[in-house]
Amino acid sequence: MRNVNCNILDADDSMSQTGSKIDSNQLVSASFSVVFGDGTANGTVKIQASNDPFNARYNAVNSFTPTNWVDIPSMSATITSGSPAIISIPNMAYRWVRVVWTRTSGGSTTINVNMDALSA
Amino acid sequence: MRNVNLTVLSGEDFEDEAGIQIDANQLVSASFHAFFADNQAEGTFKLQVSNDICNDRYNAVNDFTVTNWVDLPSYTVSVTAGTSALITVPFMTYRWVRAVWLNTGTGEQTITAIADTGVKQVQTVTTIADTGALEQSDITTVADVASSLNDTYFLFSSANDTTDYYVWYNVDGAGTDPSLPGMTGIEVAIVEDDTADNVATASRAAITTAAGADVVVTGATDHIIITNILTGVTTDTADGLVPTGFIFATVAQGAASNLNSTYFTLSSVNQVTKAQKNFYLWLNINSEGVDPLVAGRTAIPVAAAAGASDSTIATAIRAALNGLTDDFVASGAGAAAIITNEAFGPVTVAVDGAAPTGFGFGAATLGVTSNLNNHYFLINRAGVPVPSGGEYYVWFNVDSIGTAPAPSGKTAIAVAISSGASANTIGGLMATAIAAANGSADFSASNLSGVVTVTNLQAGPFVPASDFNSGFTFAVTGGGNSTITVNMNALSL
Repeated sequence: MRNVNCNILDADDSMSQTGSKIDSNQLVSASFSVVFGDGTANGTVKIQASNDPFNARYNAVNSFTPTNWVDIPSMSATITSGSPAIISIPNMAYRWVRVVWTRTSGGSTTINVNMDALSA
Repeated sequence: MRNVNLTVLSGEDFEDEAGIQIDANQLVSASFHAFFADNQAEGTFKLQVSNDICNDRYNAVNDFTVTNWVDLPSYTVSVTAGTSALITVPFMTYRWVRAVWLNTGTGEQTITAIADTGVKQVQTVTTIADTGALEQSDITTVADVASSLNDTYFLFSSANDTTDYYVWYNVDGAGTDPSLPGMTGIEVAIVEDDTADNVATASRAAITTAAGADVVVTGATDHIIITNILTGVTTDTADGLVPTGFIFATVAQGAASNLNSTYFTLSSVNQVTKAQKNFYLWLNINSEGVDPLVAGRTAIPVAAAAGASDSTIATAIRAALNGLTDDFVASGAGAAAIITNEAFGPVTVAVDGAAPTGFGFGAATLGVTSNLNNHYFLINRAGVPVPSGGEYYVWFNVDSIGTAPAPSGKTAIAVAISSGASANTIGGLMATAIAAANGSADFSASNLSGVVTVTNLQAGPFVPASDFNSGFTFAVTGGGNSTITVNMNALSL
């Protein structure tokens, strides 16, 4: 087992944002910490998943684009006044995941989402 | 650990589907993502599992067919409007698993009708009575007594004094024509001591012969009743300077007609071209009228007697307009003629003519063009591509003056409606017409407040109804119309 620890979203928090796809192959579980650069952002952070099939034998991971995304039930956090949040997924049984920031108001700097995942 | 990532169900979302049996051996956990190619799918997405024994030593996994499936409790998602669904199974302690889609959609679509805007122009014309009258006199003769009537005479005139007559008596041929200047003489030959009746009889005959173009002579016994043929002010009948001694009574004073040869203009809508048609309605009183010949308009002559009442005039006008069955319907009572155009659409309101009738012209309910006449939308029998003969167009024939638009390759479903019909009325008629298509084999349809729900009677996907120019709105409401895909990703040992 090893840890995969990286930033998966660094973006303007004054507008809605969708993070890049994360290849969750080999990931067992993961957590996503959300931090804002200001205290005004209001909205929702959620994790979406996709199981769009990917055949490593024929496709390069980086060039593959999942097209069918769905919210993972209960894997969201409501953000008020730029409060930090963490979302934990105990069972990372998805082929792809991504983070989505849906702004409702406020925000003047950045949203950062860091992922730490337990990998096989 | 490794990932197993594949499509485990690919099927039609308008039917029940079961995915492939997944060999869950070595799988630790898994998620199943169901998504649809449309946004109408309705049903239940669930997982079923089986622990049917497959002994790898004796059975090839790929050849083994699971026979006993059971729903995995709590791993069921209700799908509406084709929303994606995700089921995550944290502990995959089952030998076999599969994804199942249970369609609850009924292949329905709704068509929301709008009201027809067509209005037939309506205007009330209130007539007045004719003032015309025919002069009529009743003359009572006396008997001749020893040639007492010889060379006597009396006077009468045609309407408007166009011709002045004198009637003189020649007893036994001894009389002399008084030859009154500017007047027309009528000789009545009698014999001495003729009775009053004989005098009257001879007078009636002589006057009829000489002045029959101007007057009608009736009466009996000793009466001579002279009635002018035309209307107009007339000098009353009177005795001459050499008097007869008869009694002269004016029964009716002649008077001019106020309506004769007058007219008003009105217009209808051509049922085919929808262009305005222009008319003038003119009054011919006592057959004395002269057609005013209004340029660019068609004459509607209405005959009436001199002195006709306003009600009689209105009745005659209604009858004349109702004879123009493509243009007008006239109703009303008394002096009112309520004129309704046969076809919807705006036209110039009725107004009095240059030779005015003096009628009253009420404010018109202005006509409005129909927004639905000859317009249509498309609807299709179930099947993709649409089976031959299964492409329909539903068109609206408003007031029975529409023309089928006949788009190429499509079968007509005509819906006959009245101009100004409400959305609800149109919906009801439309539902009946659609349900009757192809011997009622393709659709069932029902209406609720102008929203028609159409259900396909043939199985399979369908090309939803769509508008051409009806302005109606369309929605597929009863389930999916394309595909469901379920992708699994599993963590495997």
